[in-house]
Amino acid sequence: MPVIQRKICLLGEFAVGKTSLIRRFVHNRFEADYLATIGVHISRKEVVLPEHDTTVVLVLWDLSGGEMASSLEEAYYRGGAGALLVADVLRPDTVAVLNTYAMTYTRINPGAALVFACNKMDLVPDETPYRLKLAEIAQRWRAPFFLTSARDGRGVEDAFRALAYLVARR
Amino acid sequence: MYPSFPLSKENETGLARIDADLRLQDYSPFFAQVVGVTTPGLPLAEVLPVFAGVEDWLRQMRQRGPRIWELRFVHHIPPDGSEPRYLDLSIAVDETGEGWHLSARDVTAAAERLHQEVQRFNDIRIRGHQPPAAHHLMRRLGPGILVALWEHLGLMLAVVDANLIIEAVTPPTTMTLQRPLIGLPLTEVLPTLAGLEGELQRIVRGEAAPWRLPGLQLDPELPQHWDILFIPRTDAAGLLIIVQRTVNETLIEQELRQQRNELTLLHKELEAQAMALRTANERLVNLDRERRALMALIVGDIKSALSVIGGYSEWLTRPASTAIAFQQEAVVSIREAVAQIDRLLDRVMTIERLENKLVQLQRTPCDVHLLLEEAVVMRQEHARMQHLDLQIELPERLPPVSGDAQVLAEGFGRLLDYAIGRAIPSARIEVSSRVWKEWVLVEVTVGIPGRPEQAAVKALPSSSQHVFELTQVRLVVESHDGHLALEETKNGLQLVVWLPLAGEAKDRSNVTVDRGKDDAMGLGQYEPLVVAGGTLRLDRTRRQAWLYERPLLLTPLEYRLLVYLAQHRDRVIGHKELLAVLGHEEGEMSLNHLRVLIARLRNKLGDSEEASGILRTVRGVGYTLAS
Repeated sequence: MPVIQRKICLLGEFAVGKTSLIRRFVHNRFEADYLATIGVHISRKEVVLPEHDTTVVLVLWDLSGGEMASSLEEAYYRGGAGALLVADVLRPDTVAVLNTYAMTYTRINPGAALVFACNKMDLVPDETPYRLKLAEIAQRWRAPFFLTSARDGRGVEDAFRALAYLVARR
Repeated sequence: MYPSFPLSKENETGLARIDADLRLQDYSPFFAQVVGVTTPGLPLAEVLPVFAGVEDWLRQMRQRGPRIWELRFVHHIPPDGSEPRYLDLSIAVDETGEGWHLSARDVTAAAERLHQEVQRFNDIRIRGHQPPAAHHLMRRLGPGILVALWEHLGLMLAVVDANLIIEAVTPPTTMTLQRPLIGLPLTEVLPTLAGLEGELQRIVRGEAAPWRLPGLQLDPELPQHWDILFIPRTDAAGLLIIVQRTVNETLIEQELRQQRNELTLLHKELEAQAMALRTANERLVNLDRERRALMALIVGDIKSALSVIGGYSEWLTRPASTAIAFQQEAVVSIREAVAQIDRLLDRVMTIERLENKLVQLQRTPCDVHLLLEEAVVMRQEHARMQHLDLQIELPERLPPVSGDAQVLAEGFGRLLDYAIGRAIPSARIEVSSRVWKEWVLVEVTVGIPGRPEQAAVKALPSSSQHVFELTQVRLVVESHDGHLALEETKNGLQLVVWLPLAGEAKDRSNVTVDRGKDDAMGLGQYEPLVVAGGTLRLDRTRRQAWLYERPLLLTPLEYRLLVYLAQHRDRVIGHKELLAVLGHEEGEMSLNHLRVLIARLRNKLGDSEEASGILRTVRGVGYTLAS
């Protein structure tokens, strides 16, 4: 089974849970304390795709969120095969700006795979309004979207597997 | 050892060469130290995982560029197991176009500092749930703009949604108001804005222009004033609220406006008072003019009547007047002249009564108690130096008297000065006061306790200062419709001042006086009095008087006059005192009327002024009943 490595960037505003999603996906654990990310943290995770008879090694770039990344985003985004765009369900503004992140990322990496995630779903009782809101923006990019929770793990594996599937096809 | 690779000017930067297969070809010692590798030939992606998955991109650099790729603050876990660190990496296509040069610089210290700042800033924003409007502002202007706005401009920002619920505030706002504000209605946080929701909603809907409210007090318990600007949000329905401390000029302006308003009110009040004074003064001037004119007329009429009487009296003494017809004519004329004088005197009385009422209107109730205490306290030290014992004994409460407090205070002072001046060393001066009928009596007694045989007062030289003092006191007292009595006893001196009660107190006193008038005078029902060698007997039940066992036909006023003179027969009664006693119920009485009354009583007593019999005149002072 061939093994391919793909660079995946996690994009989104600060404190939406990018690092927590990676920690849940890579190490299957969660830490509630918020520790801002500086620069870029690299993690790796193998995803086996039997249907493609491929093992994809996702090289996950955990980038600092918000305006801290703005001046350096182009350098960080280079060579990316895909991106997980993350928003915070409690902060509607973090959903709206995902469009900006997607535009910048695809400008640098044309044809890159995108997956949208609305994180912290464990904090809201009803996911319906957020699903609709995220669906609207994801549909614009013809990308899948997932409602995730790094705390309880819901949707995390599915989001990264979907991303692995998309980058493996490229 | 890495001979062909240019070394960095900065010795903390490690350098390495990457071959065409993306393997570590060779490196500087410092690179090995920074990155934590010791073996050449390792794949680059293993040495630095950040380059994993981007091999295609790196190869593209050789054909399409860019020729160099820089990555800052890359978190690196060294393969040798040393401490994780942050690196700034730069990879560039080398001069052959096949391989790459790689530099690595340890920026862990800088990254930690940056990390602390970002962490703090993000923490603040997480608590505030930074709204889009402020977020975009920050994206344009950089992080910390809100803190800078507060620190340098004193601005606070808040964002509310379409329902005026607070979505976000700058941290200083929260810190200033000392409570979390997110999610609260705006009017709950700022009660000053309650009732303005409608107008604010109009701004949200774009139906009204942005609104500036200057000088608002955000919290009633905080003294600061603020200017608030409401601006509609562009990112969503809602308002961006900018709050800034009101500048001092505004506060000063408000204070000046307040003072100006107060001065205006005061000016209007003073103008009204001045107008009232002018009107009252004009009325007084007119009244005085009319009084003078009226008095001139009356005096002229009286003189005319008196000349008639004088003419006929002279004519009657002539022998030619013995004719009955002439005598009758003279008597009729004289009677008419007397009647005319009576009528004129009544008019004089009426005028005087009106004048007295006017004077009373100008007077205010005075606290005798307070005035006496002040007069005594001010002279205690002086009395002590004169070896005098100055004491004051007053009842708990004295009713007020009618008059001018300043004038009365001067009178009391002079009275005490007179007593102190007359007293000999070691004498005791007692000041007491009590209510008697419609009067307040102020009594000053000079004596030496336990030594009644020794006079306590000095001899009084006729030209001494003491005479002046007493005269002044008499003037003061009489100007208040009161009177002064001076009695020198064997043991000392007694001064008594009568002052009329004021207003309500006087009315209450009248009730008491009327209830037992004669009892109050201290006369028994048939108590005989020895006067001028005869016996005067008064029957208070039938208001009857007998002299030498002969009944006297007296009018009520004449009867009261006689009773008062009898009750105070041991002293001279002043004109003012008699006028006050007699004139109370009959209206104010004039001195002329009193003289007429005295003359009639004397006539009925069979007395005459020249004979100085029963009812004696003490010129310049008053009358007394001879004992």
